[in-house]
Amino acid sequence: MKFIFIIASTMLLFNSTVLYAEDFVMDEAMKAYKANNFELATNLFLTDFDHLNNLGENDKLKAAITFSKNLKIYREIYKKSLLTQVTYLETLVNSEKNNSSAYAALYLAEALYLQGDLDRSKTIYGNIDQRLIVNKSEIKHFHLIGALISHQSKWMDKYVDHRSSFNINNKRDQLFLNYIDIVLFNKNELTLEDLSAFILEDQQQNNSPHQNNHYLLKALIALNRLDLASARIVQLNKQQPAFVEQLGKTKVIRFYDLALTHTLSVFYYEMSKTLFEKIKNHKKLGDIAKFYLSDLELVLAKKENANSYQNKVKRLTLLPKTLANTIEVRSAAHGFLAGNHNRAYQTLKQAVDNLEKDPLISADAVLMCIYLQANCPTIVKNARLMAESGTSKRYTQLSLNVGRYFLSKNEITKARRLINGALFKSDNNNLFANDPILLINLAEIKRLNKNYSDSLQIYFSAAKDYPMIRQIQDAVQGEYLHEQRNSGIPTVF
Amino acid sequence: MKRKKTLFLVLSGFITLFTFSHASNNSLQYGETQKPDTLDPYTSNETTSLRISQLIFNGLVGINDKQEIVSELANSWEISNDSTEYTFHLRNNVFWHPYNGVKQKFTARDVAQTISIITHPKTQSNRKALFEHIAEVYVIDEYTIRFTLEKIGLNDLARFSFKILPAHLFTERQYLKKSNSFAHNPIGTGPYLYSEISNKENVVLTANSDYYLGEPKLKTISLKPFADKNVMNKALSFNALDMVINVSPRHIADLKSDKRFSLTPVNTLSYSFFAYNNNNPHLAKQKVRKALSLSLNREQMLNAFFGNRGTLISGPFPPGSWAYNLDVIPDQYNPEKAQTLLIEAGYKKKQNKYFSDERGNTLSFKLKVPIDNNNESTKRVILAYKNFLKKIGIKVNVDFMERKAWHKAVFKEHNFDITLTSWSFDDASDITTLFHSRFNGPWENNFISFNNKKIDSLIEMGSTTLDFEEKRTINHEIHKLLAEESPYTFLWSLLNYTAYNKKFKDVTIHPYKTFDNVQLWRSE
Repeated sequence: MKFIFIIASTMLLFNSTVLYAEDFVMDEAMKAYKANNFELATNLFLTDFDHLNNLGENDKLKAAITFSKNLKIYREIYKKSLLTQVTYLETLVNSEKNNSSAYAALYLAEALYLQGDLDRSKTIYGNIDQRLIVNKSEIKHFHLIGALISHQSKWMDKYVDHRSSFNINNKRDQLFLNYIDIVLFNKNELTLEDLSAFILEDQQQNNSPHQNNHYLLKALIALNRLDLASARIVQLNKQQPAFVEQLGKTKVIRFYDLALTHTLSVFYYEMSKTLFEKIKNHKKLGDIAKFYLSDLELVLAKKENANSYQNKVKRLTLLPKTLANTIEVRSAAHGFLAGNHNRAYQTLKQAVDNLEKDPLISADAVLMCIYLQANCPTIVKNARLMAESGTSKRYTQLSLNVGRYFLSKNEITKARRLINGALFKSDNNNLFANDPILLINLAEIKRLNKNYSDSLQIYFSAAKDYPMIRQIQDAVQGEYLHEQRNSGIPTVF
Repeated sequence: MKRKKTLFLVLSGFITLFTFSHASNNSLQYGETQKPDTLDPYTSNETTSLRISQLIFNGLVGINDKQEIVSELANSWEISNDSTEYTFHLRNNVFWHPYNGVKQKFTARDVAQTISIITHPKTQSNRKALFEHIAEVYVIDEYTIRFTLEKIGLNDLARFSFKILPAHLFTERQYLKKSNSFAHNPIGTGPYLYSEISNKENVVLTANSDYYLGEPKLKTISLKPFADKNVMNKALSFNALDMVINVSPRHIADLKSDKRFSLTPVNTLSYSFFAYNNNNPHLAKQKVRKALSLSLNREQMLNAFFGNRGTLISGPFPPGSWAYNLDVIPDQYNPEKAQTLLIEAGYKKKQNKYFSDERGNTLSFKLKVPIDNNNESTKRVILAYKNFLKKIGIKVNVDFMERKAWHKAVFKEHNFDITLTSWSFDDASDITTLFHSRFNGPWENNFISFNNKKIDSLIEMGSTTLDFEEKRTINHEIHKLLAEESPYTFLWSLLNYTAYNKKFKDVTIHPYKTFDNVQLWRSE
């Protein structure tokens, strides 16, 4: 539904290209957008960051929508990456018991921490033999994860230990500790000069380029230096593992910086928000920008301003019909975040059960359940009936969202049926040319059904546009190898 | 007008032919683009043959689509603590399909005999590698058999999924060749028994009423070969066929919008390639093979001929495999570099047209392709290949051959320069028989006679390690080396679909075995 909205409003906006036909970057970015390659579109914008500020209001809106679309895809990649990596790393930790990987447990502890499973994360982290962590950058990583877990779990004595393992007289260590403070406490103690010094040292020493890049990126976003962050993101190798453990001549294990995907999604959020903010007072486009600003809050399920958004959204009048149709649903979702659960459920249910039975509105209602991580059994029950009875393209998004909802609740059989249904309702006869969110969910369903080769083939195709998917591919390959039981010989096809 | 009339005649011909030719009640007729070479599970290396043999034969164990080892002819098994001894307890209620009206019981002797038949030097099979890990076989009693292993590896239990042959049909001759009557008129223990090859060349199988899992619900399953994919797809549309194993790309959209049919993606673990015979002194040179690969604009071909329904690949594994090295980038179209490589390899360009060797002979190759690949997309690929090579100065003469003759020329006699074909893998993604120099004999899979000591050694290490991550690393390295060696021009892995009529219920299409749970399929 969301996707349809974006497409509809962007068609409205993007088809008026006459004014900006001479703008090469804009044209190329829009071509990429229409081909579902939001990664390329955002990268095109980021390569000329200053130009973004000089764009006309229309184009700013297009750019902002593009960033918000990429935010949603990155969040999807992040979720699937955590799921696949946890499964793989658990297998690895078990199978490496008798072998030699020293780092599998560290990365598993981190993945579990990111997933919110603090207890397991703490247990696994606590059992790591620190003496086996010999790589310089990984020692830092070890203490960072320790600091994060201990801080979150009120394991404060350990947290102090982790801090004290750094030498405060060393400029680099001091900067790292400041970085931890920014991440943990939002303490904005780093100055731009500090960062520049850190960047310079980083370039000169090149000790752990990947992780330093991430630390800096996170700090730059926290300092709202999106211009500097953008320059680093354009150059970022998103396929690169954070650490490659070499075990003898014929064995390597790649470990990925899973939190980086989250950091990038935060960046796309901030970019999108900054651009929408710049247009929100525009006479014609202001309401559309405000709609999307409220959408960003929902994507991240932010509670801070939920109360005011609940009413603000209802006052938006200059909206394309597809967006206007969802105002009630959106308002209810903000209401949910503000604590008005019962009213929100009622509105979302009405949206699904309405007399016109508009699959796009129903799809949006289900999407809200996904964003809010809410339990919506009655809403989804009716939405599912509608999704399964509809065969046209209009039902694609509804089928996908209901499938995604079931997937989030671990109801795999239902999810499979609906996500496959979405694929067949899309009018796209080439599987690979579909919406990346559909592809990522389809691939995940296939993985969960142990149909690894199909899953990998879909990820392989999606990774061409979204290199960050490499960390998922690597994990699925590992899981596949451990799980597969065949021993056959190839045949001529 | 004339065209319209012809079309009308063709269509009415279809309707007449198909309406009266397919009695569909409780039977399933599926279409393939080729006739099966043989019907036993060992003498052919073609998917069509192997697919139909799955219906006729069983292994001791099977592997289901959930990657679980399941019981087939063995009821249960024990594995010794050191994993070197496997003892199987066999079902005592399994009968061989009737032979001369007599049904014999399946016993441990059949299992032991199968191993001695397939490992017999005279047996023609590319599947002998399946048995290399077995050191000794002991028949303990009629329904118990024990194996000791030469060396242990990953997934050893799954290796016992090899199909069992009937000992009582091999009393005189202890080996199996393509020419044996058994290869064309086999008996097994599976859910279907071979009935006949009808006068329309359909292979007809009938339900085995004694099947140990119960009689299958569909009474007959028949394979109907089609020389032309378009005709096959039309037959499905006219209800003259119930299932098409591999739908051609141009028909996907039509079938997708036709509510009578279900489309299932299959064989993601497959890829197409041009193979280069290393017995040809020119093609034995790495630079020449690499030049051939660089001269092709594969991206353009995939887009133009298959509507981008697939992915370009960079090496010997399909992209859906755990072994695919994601860091190896597919060769980019670079005709200039291709010509430079040819010059470096000692060739000169004659009158600015074709390259010639040091004796002044034009660099030209014979491309042999089976005639049943004479479908539209393949023809276009061949024509494009010829043109791309002509552009850089290499002559290609295309020889379309009858499939059996092509198979013999390529796999038995190695009498070809270049060929176009595809491999289909199971989840093991095992390329041992494709590139290890041990497997380059007649009817074996290394039909290009590729010989590289480093690859041989890595393959051996990869197949013996008990460490999963080491296995993956080694296979990634093999991928990287073979991408550089270019024994094939690795083309693409296509999205393949099987289509079937929705009147068939409880159908689950196995990604590469197709008929894995066929005994449950039923017709409305």
